Amino acid sequence: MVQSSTLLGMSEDESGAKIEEGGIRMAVTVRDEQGNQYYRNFSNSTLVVRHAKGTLPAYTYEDNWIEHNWEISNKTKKISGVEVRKATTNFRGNLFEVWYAPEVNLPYGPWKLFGLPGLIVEAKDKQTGRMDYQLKSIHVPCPVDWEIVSPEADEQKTLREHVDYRDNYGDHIHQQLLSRLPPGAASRLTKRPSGAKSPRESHYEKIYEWETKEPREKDK
Amino acid sequence: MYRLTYTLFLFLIAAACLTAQQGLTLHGRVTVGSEPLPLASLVLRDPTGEEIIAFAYTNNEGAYRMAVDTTGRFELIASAMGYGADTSYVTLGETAVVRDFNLTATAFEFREITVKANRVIREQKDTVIIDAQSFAQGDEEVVEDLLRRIPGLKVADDGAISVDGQEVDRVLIEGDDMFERGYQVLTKNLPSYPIKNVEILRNYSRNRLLKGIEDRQRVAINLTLQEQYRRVWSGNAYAGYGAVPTDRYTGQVNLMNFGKKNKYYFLGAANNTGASTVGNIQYLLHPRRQGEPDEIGADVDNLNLIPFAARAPNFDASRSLLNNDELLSLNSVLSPTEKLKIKLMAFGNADENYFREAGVTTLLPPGQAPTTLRDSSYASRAPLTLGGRLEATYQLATNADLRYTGYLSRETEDARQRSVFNGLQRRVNLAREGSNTDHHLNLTQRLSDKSVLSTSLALINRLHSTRVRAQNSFLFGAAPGSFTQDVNTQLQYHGMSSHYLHKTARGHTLEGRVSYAERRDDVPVSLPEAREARQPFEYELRELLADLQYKHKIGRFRLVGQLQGGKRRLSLRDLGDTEKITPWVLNPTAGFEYLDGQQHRLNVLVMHTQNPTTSDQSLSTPLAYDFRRLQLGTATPLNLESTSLGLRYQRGSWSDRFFFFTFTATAAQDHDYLTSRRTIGQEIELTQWYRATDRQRLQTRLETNYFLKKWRVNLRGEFSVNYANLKDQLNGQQRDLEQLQLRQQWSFRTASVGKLNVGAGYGNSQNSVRTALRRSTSEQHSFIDLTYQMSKRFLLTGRADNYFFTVEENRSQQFFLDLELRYTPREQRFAYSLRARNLFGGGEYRNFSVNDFSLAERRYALQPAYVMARMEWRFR
Repeated sequence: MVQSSTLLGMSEDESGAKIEEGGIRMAVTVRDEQGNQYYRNFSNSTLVVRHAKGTLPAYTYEDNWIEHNWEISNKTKKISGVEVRKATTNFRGNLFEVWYAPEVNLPYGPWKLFGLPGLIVEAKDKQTGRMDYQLKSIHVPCPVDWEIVSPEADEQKTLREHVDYRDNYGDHIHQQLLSRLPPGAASRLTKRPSGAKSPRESHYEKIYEWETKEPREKDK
Repeated sequence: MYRLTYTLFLFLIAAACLTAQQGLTLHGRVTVGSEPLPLASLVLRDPTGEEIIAFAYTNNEGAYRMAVDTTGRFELIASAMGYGADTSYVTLGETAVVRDFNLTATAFEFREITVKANRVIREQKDTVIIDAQSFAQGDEEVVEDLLRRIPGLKVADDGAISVDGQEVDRVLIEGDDMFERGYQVLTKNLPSYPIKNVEILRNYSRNRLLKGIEDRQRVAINLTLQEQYRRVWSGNAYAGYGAVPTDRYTGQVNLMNFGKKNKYYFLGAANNTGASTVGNIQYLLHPRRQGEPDEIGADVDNLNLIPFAARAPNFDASRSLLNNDELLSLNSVLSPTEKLKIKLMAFGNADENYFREAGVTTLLPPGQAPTTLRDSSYASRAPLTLGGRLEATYQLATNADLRYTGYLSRETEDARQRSVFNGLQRRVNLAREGSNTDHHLNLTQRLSDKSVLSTSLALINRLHSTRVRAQNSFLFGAAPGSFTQDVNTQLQYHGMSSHYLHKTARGHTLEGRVSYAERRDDVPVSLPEAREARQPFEYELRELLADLQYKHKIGRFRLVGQLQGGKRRLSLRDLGDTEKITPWVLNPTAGFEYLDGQQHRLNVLVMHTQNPTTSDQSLSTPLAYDFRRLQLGTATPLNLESTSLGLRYQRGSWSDRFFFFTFTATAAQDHDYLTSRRTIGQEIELTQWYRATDRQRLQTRLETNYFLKKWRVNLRGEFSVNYANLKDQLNGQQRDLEQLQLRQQWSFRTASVGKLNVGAGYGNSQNSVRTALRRSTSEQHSFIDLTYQMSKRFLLTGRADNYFFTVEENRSQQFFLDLELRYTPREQRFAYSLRARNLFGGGEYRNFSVNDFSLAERRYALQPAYVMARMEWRFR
C-alpha cells in the first residue's frame, strides 16, 4: 500500500481575544499538535478532515468524495529540475490552479485536491488568492513507519454542521466567550460586525453541493 | 513509501480507485504477474506527448476505465511507482477498446526523487515574496546592498529603488512606513542580516480606506525580519579607521525594536568616505509627492533661489564625494490605543562637502573669436539640517480616518569658494538660513464598499534668507570690486481639496476632485548698487480647479478620460506695478490601459497641460550665483502649454521564469517653453529666461532583466534615447539646437549559493549637440566584481572599474580597484574587515564636456586611495 502524509507549518499568529469599547477583537491561532489533517481512503472512497483546535476544540468531519474534473493544460515548467504540468479544476465555486509532476505518478495533493496523473507540487486558488501550497521535498524511502489511520478528535460533525460552524465562526466564539465571563461582564459584550462581505470571503470553498445559488452575502 | 512535506496542513491518504464516466470508452486491467495492481496510472496522449487526452487510475481490482470524446491514434501509457511503465498505441474509433498491461516490479532502486521546491521567489496576488538571504553573497552590509542583489530590483546611484523599472513609493518595515519617500535613511543604514523577506507590494495604497478603490498602480517594498529579531531590542555598531595614506573613518550605531504595535529605530552614523547617510535630504524635509487623492500641497517645492555653484562631478558618488557626514536619526511608530497610530521622526544632519577642481574652458560664441578661460578653485559647503515629522492617524470609525502630518525643519548653510580665475584671486561666500513648517490634515471616509471621500487641507510656511558676497567681481562695476546681495524669501501656501473616488462592481472607476490653492512668494532682493533699497517682488498664484476622471473597463482594457478645468490667476508685483494673467485652464487627457494579470501592461495617454511659471522663473531682479554669473527671470507671468503622448509597456513575470521588460516613451510638443538668453563674456555670464514656442522632445527607455534560474545568473540591459529640438539665444544670436543622448548598459551577475560569484557589466553614453556644428562626447564604463568565500570565516571581495572618456579627438582613461577581506569568527557577533578603496584612481577625475557654446576639460579631486580596518559588533 502506498501511503503519504504532509506536515503542518502555520504562521504563528498571536492568539487571544481582547475586549474593547464597541465589541471584541480577536486573533486566533488555529493550531494544535495534530493540526489540520485530510485523510483520503481510496479503497472505500472516504475523506475525513480534522479541523485543528483554535479557540474552540478540534473536531473531525466526513466530507463528500468529489472527483475533480481536471482540465489538463499543455503548459509545462520545471521546478527544481522536475517537469511539471499545469491543470485546473472548478471545485465548490472556486477555481484551483495546480502544477503536478507526471514523473511522480501518484494521485495525491494538498488539501482536498487529488486525482491527477502525478503528484500535485504547487496549488493556488483564484478567488481568495490565499492558497499557496508548495511541495518542499519528497523522501524515498519514507522514514515514517507508523500506520496511517483516520484522524481523530473529541468532537465529530457532519459536513453541513462544519459549514455552518465556519460560516458563523464569529458567533460561535462570541457565545463561547459569553459562557466564560461572569454574568455582569457578559452583558457588556456586543459583537462587532466583521469587515468581511460574506462569511466565506476568505474560504476556499464558496458553494456547496446542496446550495444552488451564490453563498449568502450580507451586503447584497 | 514516500513522505511529502507541504508548507501547510497535514493530509493522509490510503490506497484506492478512480473511475471514469461516459463517452467512448477505453478500459482494461493492469497486473503484476497475476496480481492486480491498484493505483497504477494510465495516461492517453497524442503521439507527440504534447497533449493529454484523458487519464485514469486502476481500482483495487486493477481495472481502469477511461471516457474519451475524440477519435484518432494515441499513445496509452501505464505506469506505477516502483513498477516501471509500459506504452501501447491505440486507435480509437467507434467501438470500445480494451487494453491490458502487465508491469514488472523495478523495486525501489530507481533514482531518489527530491523535489525541493523551496522557491526563493513566490507570487501571491499583488505581492511578490522574495527570500532575501538566498541572494546574499556575504559582503552586504545594509539593506541597499542586499536589494542590489535581487533580480528585478534596481538601486540607482542616488539610492532611489525601482522594481520592474518603476520607482517604489515607499519602503516599509514589518508593514509600517517610517520614512515615506525619505526611505533611503532606512535602506542606506539598516543592516541587512536581520532581513528575511523582501516583499514587493503592487497596487500599494498608503491609506487603508483607499485600498481596492484607488487605481494608482504604485509599488512599495516591505521588509520582514527574521523571527529572532522581531519584538526584541537588537542592533549593531561598527567603526572603521584608516590612516594610510590619509585619514578616513566610518562609524555607525543602529538600535532597533520592531514589534507588532510599536516600532523603534535609532541610528547614528558618520563617515568621510563618500557615503551619503541620508540620500536626498529634501525627501525628509517635505513630502514631495504628486497625485495622491488624500493630499494637497505635497508637491510644493522649496524656494531655493541660489544654488551654490560648486558641485561634485557627475560621477560615481562613492568615489567623487568628499564629505564629512554625520547623522542622528530617531524614529518610532507608536500605537497607544487600537485607534491611534503615531509616527515620529527626528533627525539632525551635519554635512561638510569639499570640492577641488580646475579646468580650461574654451568659449565659442558664434560670430566671435574663441576665448580661453582658466580656473582653479577650492570650495566647501557645510549644511546643517535639523528636522522632524509627526504623523498621527486616528480611526474615527471603522470607515473613517483623520490624519495629521506636520513637518518642521531648520536649515543653515555656510559655503565658501576660493578660486583663481583668469589669473585673479576671487572669493565667494554664501550664507543661508531657513525654516520650514508644513501642516497637512486629511479626513478620509469610506462612504460605501466602493466609494470614498477624502478631504485635505494644507498650510505651508517657509522662510529663507541667503546672503551672497563676492570679491574681485566685475558683475556690478567696470573695475573688480566686491558686492553683497541679500535674498529673502517667504513662501506661504494654503490649499484645500475634496476628492471623491468610486469603483463600480464592474471595475469602472470614477474620480472627482475640487481644489483651491493659493501660493504667495515674497522675494525682496537687494541690488548691490543700492544695498539698502530692497526691491519688493511678489509672486501670487491662485487656482480653483475641478478634475474629473473616468476609467471604463472592457475586458482587459480600460479606457481613460480625464478633464481638468478651472481658473488660474497668476500675478507678479514688482516696484508697485502689478501684472497678472487669468487664464482658463482646460487640461484634457485621454488614453487606454491594457492589463493582462501581471504579464502584460500597456498604458497609452495623450494629454494637454497648462502650467504656470514659478516664482524663480519670474524674477525681475538679477541674482548673482557667484563672482561671474547672474540669472534673471522672465519678469512677466506666463502660462505654458504642452501636448504629449506617453506610452508605457511592461511585460514581466516573477514566477518560474523570472524576467521583465519595460519600455517607456514620451513624445511632447511644447507649444510654449522657457529657454535661455545668454550673454557670455570673460567676466560675466548672464542668463535670462524667456518664452519661446515650439519645442519637440522625445524620451524613450527600454529596460530588461532576465534571471536564468538554472544558472542563477541575472542579466540586465538598459537602453535609452533622448532627443530635443529647441531654440535659444547666445550673445544676441538666435540659434536652433538639437540635443541627442544615447545610453546603453548591460550587466550580468551570478547569484549562486556556491563559493564564487561574479558580476560584470559594460555601458556607454553619447551626448551630442548640433547647432551649426555637431559636437559629441562619449563615455564608456566597464566593471567586474567578485566575491569569493575562501572558507567559512573568510570572504574576499574585489571590484574593478574602468572608464574611457572621448571628446572629439581627446581621450582619457581612468581605472579603480577596491579590495576587501572579511573575517567572521565562529561566534557571529563580531566581524572584522580590511578594505582598500580607490586603488590606482590617482585621486583625480578628468572629464570633458561639450555644449552648444563651449568646450571644457575639467579635473576634480576624488576620494583618495585608502586602506581601512573595520570592526562590527552585533547584539540582540
